Amino acid sequence: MQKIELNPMTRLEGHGKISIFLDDKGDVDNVFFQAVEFMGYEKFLIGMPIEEVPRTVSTICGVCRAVHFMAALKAADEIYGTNPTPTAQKLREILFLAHYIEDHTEILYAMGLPDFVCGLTASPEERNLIGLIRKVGVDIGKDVLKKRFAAVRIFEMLGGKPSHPVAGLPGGWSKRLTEEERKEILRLADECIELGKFTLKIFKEVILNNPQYVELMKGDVYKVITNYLGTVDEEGKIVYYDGVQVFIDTEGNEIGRFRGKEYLDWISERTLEWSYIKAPYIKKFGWKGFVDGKETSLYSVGPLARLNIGNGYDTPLAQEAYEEIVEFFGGKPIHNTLAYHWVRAIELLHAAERIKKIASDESITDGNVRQELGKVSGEGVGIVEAPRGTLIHHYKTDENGIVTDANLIVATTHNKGAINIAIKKAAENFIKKGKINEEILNLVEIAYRPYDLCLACATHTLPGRLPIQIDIYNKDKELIKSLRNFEN
Amino acid sequence: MKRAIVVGIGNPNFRDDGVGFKVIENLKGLVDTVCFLNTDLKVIDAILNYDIAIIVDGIKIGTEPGTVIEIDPVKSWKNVYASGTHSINIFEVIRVGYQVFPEEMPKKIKIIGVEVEDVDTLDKECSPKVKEAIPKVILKIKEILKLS
Repeated sequence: MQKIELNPMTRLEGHGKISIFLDDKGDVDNVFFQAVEFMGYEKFLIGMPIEEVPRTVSTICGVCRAVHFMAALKAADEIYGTNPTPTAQKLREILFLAHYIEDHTEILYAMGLPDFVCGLTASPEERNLIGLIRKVGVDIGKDVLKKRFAAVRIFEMLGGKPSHPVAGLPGGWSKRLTEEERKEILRLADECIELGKFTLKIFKEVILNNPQYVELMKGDVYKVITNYLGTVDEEGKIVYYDGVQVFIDTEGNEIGRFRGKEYLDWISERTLEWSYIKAPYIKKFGWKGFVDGKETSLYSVGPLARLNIGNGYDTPLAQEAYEEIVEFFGGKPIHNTLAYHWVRAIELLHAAERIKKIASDESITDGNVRQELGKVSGEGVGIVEAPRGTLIHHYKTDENGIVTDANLIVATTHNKGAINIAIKKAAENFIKKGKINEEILNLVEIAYRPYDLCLACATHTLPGRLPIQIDIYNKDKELIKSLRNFEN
Repeated sequence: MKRAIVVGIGNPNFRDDGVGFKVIENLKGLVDTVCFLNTDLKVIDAILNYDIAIIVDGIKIGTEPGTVIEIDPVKSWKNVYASGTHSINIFEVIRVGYQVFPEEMPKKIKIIGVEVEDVDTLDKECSPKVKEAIPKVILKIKEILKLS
């Protein structure tokens, strides 16, 4: 094979890039997924009081607006030697779950489901949320959006601002919930449960009833065999706001577990010649390269990882859906990446059921929402399960709680190895003898969409989304085709 | 005056990306306002049942930084689509809104874009040319809404 040199790029006007290299037969030789993540927030936070950090990091990404907030808040708790009061913990969790619902709904209906509802090789003009609504009907589209807005209202009620949450404080929450608000949350939770049920129904009717899609779901094209990282509670149930982090191997056996700063004992990062982003791997296995399979040291995070690690959900409808997906795939761990979309739908339902469960407890209107702060400890780690995967925020401060160092590891970083393999497998399967067209582009894009990449979309100037460019090179490294999902 | 809302879009921590937020700061009390970090479906929720909505955002279309451009999203949406990784663009958001809530969407929507210079630097202040454009944007909005 010819040696390939890929120099790290400059910011490429803010888009990600997939470089596909063909051999002399026109088949795929190698693939590199490059994304320039913006790492400036760590530096920006230095010198900031830790209690201001959650409100600031909640602006890293408008889509991920609750997750950085919550991870930073948990780190701030540790830095101040405190834990939230039980009531505050419940309020935090409700906000987090509301975010799960709004996020998973948007990703499924705008990004994941259109591929299947509108057709895998439909034109990009059709294969989007508008095309999906045309297919399912305006009334259904309206109902879905209204129910999603219910989650947004819960979020805004608790978070304090429509753009991003601000109501958290180290040791608790800045405001109590009124009884009127609690009842409103219960009503809205019922709408969200219906949304979850309906989303799973669409998934089953459109995808699981279609033999072609079932073949894709179960097949090898969209299959990446890695280890997995996720969070569970003491009983092994899947959780999002707080729990213990667990690694399992490719066969589902537990490799180990950690809390807080112990993540440093488990995760190493490999510097890559061709990317600004490092590739994390399981430290005890050592770096094995971008390979999947039993011997890999790479791991995946996100909905499918969580399902693989946990022994189920603590709410009845989500648990029923869990048993169904496990039966469909013949057991766990499930390595078929299109299942990410299915699990997203299950988690949407689970989050809604959990909101109802928590809000049914009248004690969440208790006024004790703030714990006393302790002495500044100087270091804190906050770990949450963001909708797209495990998120780690690690801060060091001086004796006054002023940030001196910050390290953020986001889900897309954890998944870098898996995403690269996924794209390569799809490219190898669909690009043969140099034949490349728009339809093939989408079949390759389907490989990374389940991971719901967040390429640090902290900025968003019009057209308001992060474009992806796929460049194809021949055996002489000459660019022969460039495909984009955006216009200049 | 008809019922109006001005929506500012942007990240206030990334220099010119915060231009939407800066405009909104100057309109509070004069008209209903809201800010979002990005464009997604919650923009629809925010503008339903208003007669007119104005969306203010940074743009990058190759004009001189600080240039203020008024865009009619219905005439301008062309063939935009979102097979991007993460978010939905404003044109698609508005199209979905009209598709699903034809009676409740504003009869008139305008996008006012300000050409940005720098959206990569962490800075709560806009660059000088974009900062100079902010009063022009406010004036334009007041003209559209017939505010004094």
